[in-house]
Amino acid sequence: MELNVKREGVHSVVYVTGDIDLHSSPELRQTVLELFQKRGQEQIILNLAGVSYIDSSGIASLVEGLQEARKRDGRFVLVGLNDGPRHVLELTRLLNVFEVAESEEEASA
Amino acid sequence: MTSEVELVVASDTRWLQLIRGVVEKFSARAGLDPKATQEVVLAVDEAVANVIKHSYKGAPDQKISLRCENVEGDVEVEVRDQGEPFDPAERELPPPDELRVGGRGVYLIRSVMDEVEYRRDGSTNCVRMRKRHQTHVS
Repeated sequence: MELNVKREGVHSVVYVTGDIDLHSSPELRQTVLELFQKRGQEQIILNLAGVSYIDSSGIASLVEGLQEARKRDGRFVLVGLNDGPRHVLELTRLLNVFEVAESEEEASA
Repeated sequence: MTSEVELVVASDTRWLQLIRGVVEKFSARAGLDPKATQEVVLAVDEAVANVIKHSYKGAPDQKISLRCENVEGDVEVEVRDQGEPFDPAERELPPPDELRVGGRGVYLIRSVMDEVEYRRDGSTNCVRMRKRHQTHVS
């Protein structure tokens, strides 16, 4: 998994490429939480267009991101959901809990 | 026709990707459709992750054995380890509104597989999962 972060003011976009599993999810979790907690970001868009696989540890990292956003009245938006991750979010009944957008433009609106 | 693949890996999360690749190719070759194949991959990944986290408490140098078997088109996967007993018994999904961080792995396994059995065989945990041909969770 690779992470690339684009920061503009208090908004960030995190581009994720590769599989999110028990091996890689701690890095994703740490990156998202640091952006909120240490970099003072108010909005994080997680671009998952490069992700075709996510497991329950990855879902747990997303949940932590959402918790952190809610705690500070911020936003945590998922963009570019492929079929695999979408199916896992549906199975765990979390798809409607997250803010999901079709594009970064829609997410920023 | 019966065919099988056996794999023994260390309990290191770095091997999860390799395991997924093997299970994906095996399931596709057994004739499962792409969605069912991905569901088997998810279940096996979650089962192995549970072994690493719960049975071996994160120790990366223990042994995990997998056996994939094609039984008349059904895909059966058995995951074995010699760690602490860990029974992936029926678990409720945490209510979505609670936003609980963990606790979804076992639920996912049971959601996507047709059969899941656990047994403790001496000092060995054994989880056997089966996906029937042309069935999947919609």
